[in-house]
Order: sequence, then structure tokens, then C-alpha cells
Amino acid sequence: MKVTKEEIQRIDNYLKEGGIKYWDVRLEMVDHLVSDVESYEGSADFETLFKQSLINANWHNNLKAVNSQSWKSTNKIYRKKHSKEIISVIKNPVNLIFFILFYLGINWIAQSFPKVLKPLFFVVLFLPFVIMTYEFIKSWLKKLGRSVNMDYGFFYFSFGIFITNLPIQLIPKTQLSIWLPIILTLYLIVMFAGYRVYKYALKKVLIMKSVN
Amino acid sequence: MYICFMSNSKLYKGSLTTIILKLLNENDRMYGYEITQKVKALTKGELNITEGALYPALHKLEAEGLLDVEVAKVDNRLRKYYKLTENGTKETVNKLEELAEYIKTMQALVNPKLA
Repeated sequence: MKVTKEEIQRIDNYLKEGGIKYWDVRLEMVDHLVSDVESYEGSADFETLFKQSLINANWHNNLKAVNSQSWKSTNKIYRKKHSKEIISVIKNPVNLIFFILFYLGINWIAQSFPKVLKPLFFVVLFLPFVIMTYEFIKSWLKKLGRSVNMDYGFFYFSFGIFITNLPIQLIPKTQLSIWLPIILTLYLIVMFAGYRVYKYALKKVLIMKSVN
Repeated sequence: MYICFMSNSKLYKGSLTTIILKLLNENDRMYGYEITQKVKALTKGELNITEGALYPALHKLEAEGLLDVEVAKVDNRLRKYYKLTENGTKETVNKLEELAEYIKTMQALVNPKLA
């Protein structure tokens, strides 16, 4: 049987209400269920076939588990992507020279002008944060909806902030001038890799949106 | 559970990636439901890939750069098509060689006359 636009919407709503929060996860599930319903020949009504398709796919009573599984498998994908990006950033000779020069520059400032180190630290720390806020507003204005790709794009974009926070609190004040240049350099590498992961997620989502 | 089988389920586990890559190597591009139906048809219902295993496997292969995704609008809904990348094609050859070697070894153990 041919599934109508309204029936497709009904399937999407059912999945959404059942716990599949992200539209980019539902997209593939909707197509799967519609394809299964449409594969039936005969005169059965849509609701009966839809329920049967949910059973066939084993999605009839565990949608929240499916949502959490997609969430975890997407995290795995983005975590891997982030690690790969970090390696690729370091492997790029131009980037590597930039980060070495950055470290040497901050180290020189830390030794020669220790008083400037703290304000400089905050500038370097918050600059990516400003870019992130700008990107967040920009994507929000694009009305991309609740997307698992965008959630992880933003998570790995902000990942540097989380992992920098702890070591900074643990460093004794007397050793700040030694450790801050190292932490700031690592922070920039992680943030830059996170930005590339975010751009990958955004591109992916925009492609899906443009087709719709 | 990874894959549902009518019989010998333990023997087939771990072969999902190879099955997906092989199918995509033979068909330019495929979508999730199509893959499940193709496997069912080719094995005459003996092998039934569960949706809970298929989609995470496809997404993993995509993240590894072995698959490319194309999204197309089909009858009022979006469809994700998967196709092999250049690396994916190379990996398919490796996986199939590994599988052939495995079959040969097993044959030598189980039925030496045929090996």
C-alpha cells in the first residue's frame, strides 16, 4: 500500500512521542517503517500494517532504548572523529608550527611578564567560547531542530573547556607560569579539533535539511 | 542481539560489516531497509539482520570513512543512501579475502578432502 504524507507524519509523531527526540535519528526510522508498510500487498489498513512494521523492526515497545542506543552510537562516532581531528591538526605542519610558536610565545610572556599571563590566559580561554556562542546563535537562527549531530557537534566544540578546567584548579600557584603555556596550547589544539567536528556536524545537518 | 538467524547464529556473528560492504560493492548505493531485504532474499530467509544492529553498523562504517551518505527525498520522506568510498572499496577486498581465508581454514579442519 502507498503511505500518504499524513501517515508519514503520524509515524514521525509516534516515534517522537515514544522517545526518539532527534529528527535526524527518526528520519531513517521513518523511512524504514514506511518502506516496510509499503511492501505489504493487500487490503489491510494503515494502522494494522504500521503496528506490524513496528514489531518487525522490534521498535514496538522499546523506543526509549533505541533513542539511547542511537545517542551512544553517535557519541562513539563523534568521539572517534574528535580524536582523529586532534591527530590531523597536529600532523599538519602549518598547524604544528603555529602551535609551537604559540607555546613559545606564551612561555616567553610567562617568564618575562608574569603579570600579563593571567589576563592573557582569560583572553585565550574565552576567545573560542565567544566563537562558540556566535555559532550557537547562528545555528539556532537556522532552526535546525533537535539534532543528535548538532548536540555532539557542540559538545565536542566545548570539550576543551571541560578538560582544561580541572588541571588549572589542581596546579599550585607557584607553578602556573610553567603549566599555563602547556595547558593553553593543548586547549587550543582540542578546541580547534572540536571546531572542525562541529563544522562536520553542521554540514551534515544542513545537507539533510536542504533536501527536505 | 547482533543478527537474527534461523540457525547457526553463533557462526554468523561478526560478519555483519563484511555483509554490508559486499552488498554495497555490488550495488552502487543502498538504504537501510533495502539491505535487510536483500540479505533476507539472498539467504532465503535464513539470515535476518536486525534494525538494532544494522543502523549502528552503518553509522560506524560511515564514521570510519568507508561509507558515504547521500540524502534524497523519496515520496514525501527523506531517505539515507549509503555507498562505498574509495577506502571502503579497498576494505571490502580485504574483508572478503579474510573471509575466504577463514572458510578455507575451516574447510581444512572440518572436511580435509574438500580443502
